[in-house]
Amino acid sequence: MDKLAEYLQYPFVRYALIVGVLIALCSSLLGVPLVLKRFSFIGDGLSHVAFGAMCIATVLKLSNNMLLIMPVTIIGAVLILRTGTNTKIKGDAIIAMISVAALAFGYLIMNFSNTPNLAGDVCTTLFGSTSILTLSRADVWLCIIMSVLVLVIFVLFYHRIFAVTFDENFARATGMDTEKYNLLIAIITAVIIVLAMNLVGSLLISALIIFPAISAMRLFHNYFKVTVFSAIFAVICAFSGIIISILAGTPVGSTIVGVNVLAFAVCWSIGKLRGTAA
Amino acid sequence: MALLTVNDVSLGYDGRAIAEHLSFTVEKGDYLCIVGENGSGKTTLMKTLLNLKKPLAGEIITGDDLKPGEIGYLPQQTEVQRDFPASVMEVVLSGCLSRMGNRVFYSREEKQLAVENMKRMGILDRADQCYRELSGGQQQRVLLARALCATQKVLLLDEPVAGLDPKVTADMYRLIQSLNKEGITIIMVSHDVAAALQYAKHILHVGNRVFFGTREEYSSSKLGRLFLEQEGGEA
Amino acid sequence: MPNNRVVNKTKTVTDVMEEQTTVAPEATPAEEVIVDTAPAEMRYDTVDIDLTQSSETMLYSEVIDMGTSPDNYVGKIIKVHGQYMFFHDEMSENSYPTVVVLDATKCCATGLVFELEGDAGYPQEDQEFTVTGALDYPSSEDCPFPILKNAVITTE
Repeated sequence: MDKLAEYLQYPFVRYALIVGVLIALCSSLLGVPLVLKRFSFIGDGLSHVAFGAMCIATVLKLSNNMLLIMPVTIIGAVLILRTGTNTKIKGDAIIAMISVAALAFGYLIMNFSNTPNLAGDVCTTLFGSTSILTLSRADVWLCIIMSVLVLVIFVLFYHRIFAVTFDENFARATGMDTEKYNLLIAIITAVIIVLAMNLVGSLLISALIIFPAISAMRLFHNYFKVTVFSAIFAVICAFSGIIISILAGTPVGSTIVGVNVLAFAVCWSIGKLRGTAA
Repeated sequence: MALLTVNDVSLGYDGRAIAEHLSFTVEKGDYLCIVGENGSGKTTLMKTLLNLKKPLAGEIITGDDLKPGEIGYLPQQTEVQRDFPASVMEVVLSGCLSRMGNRVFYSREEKQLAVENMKRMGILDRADQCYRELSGGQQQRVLLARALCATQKVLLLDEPVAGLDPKVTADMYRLIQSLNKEGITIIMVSHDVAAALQYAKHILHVGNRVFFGTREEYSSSKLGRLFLEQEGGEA
Repeated sequence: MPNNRVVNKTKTVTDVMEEQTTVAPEATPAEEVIVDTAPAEMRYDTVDIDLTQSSETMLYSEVIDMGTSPDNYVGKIIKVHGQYMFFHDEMSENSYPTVVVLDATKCCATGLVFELEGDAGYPQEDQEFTVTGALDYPSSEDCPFPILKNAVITTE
């Protein structure tokens, strides 16, 4: 416990906790509609696109690679989410195609750049390594602002997001501009995924999106309760995951995901024990 | 003026027409049943009436101040919906979306409306239950309550009794008819011609040959009798 | 020290000196390595930041933090355990003795430059050792990295 208090003296530890909690919160809130629309793996797909963009930005020696990563990832999100329904290529195939292409292409490009530690950079991006513990103040502020924006948008458009997720046809028939809301969901997803890459890395992002939502759905039967529980679940898992990893010396990303999996197992068991509740 | 006037409309995909030269009108308080073979374009027609699809040719005129948000729609259910973790109340309330305008939350009046429509559909006692735990018939009632929240004028129903057992089917038809008696215009797509003849006032047959008229005219027409024979054995 | 640098082995005077002296810090007690000063326990009786007590996750981030926020650490006595690398920096084209630490996934590396007291011998390349020193950040042209000054190697 004393060790923990000592660690908490460091600003970078406090930053990690703040950012980790905010990102987990945003991912889980968005996870509910994404999982219900059967886009669970979008976290993976888009993070690979973001990885590809990062590689290009590195090769071009851009001073701030966010300038390239954000827009490219947003475009990727729009392509994936909007071609998901009513097209010749179905959602999962599109995600697979774009994601794998971006990952391969990105890594190829990196080989032509002259970064000194290719393996390390790639590893950091894919698994997060300790990047959440090496954030600057500017990074933290950026994250706080974007998370607050996402949260505000989510609250403002909560009912509309529900309508578009539950029954897009009905929503459109009653006059709602579903295109606009699908676009909104796509953009927010892209923003969160780019931010979340810092926390758990590309390969583990899907966990932040999926586990809280699915755990909540095992226990609750009301969309609002599912959403709220999802958020609480994600925050607790992220917080404890970070604390455990700094105390035990384990990689941050995998630890957070590990906690998520354990917590999911608990929720699943409780759900099973309750049986088929009315 | 008629609630809905369809003038020489052609429907189809990618430039290919599945149905052409459709012309009919729907008056206020009408009960229209759209029948035809599978793939004849019934659902496409419904989607076009709802503005979800554009017709390939022709025009659709709405009268009587009918705004897009005032059409209640009962679509066919998808797998996603059957498994959705939402309470009945949440689903029904979402029908009030078009009334919300720029507001963020539902008003007390809208929640009251949802409660009344649930009462009308006989599902108020299930308001807090999870949608996915209801039977097929109960789910349809929930969606009907939702449609009623969107409108008091016109209801478009796409195969409302698909997959329901006979008793539940009969209940559903009676429910729809009582709504029609209250003054709500009903437009229903169905492959259950026998039921159509029992309840509808007008029939639109879509397919290789098009027919529009009252149910009496249909059952005495050649097309009608032929179709009845084909579809005859269905419960 | 900027992290994730590829090891570039260049022979220098120090390397040659090491070859000619057979000082292996692990094999000899601290007193023999340090020539003119008292052993580590006496030289640094309070350590401000003992990185050998930190988890691997914290260790890596703390060292990075020392590089990015030196103001918080200037003058502090720091004890750290890692591997020795004679690091060649391409930018300044100088080489420095460094103690290298890895992160929890073992795929990223960072470290601190250190400067031993007096004529003490430096460890062998890749050798594990513990060093204690006072962190300074001269930020000169010669060495743009934080340096653990007046450093002393201990065996524990």
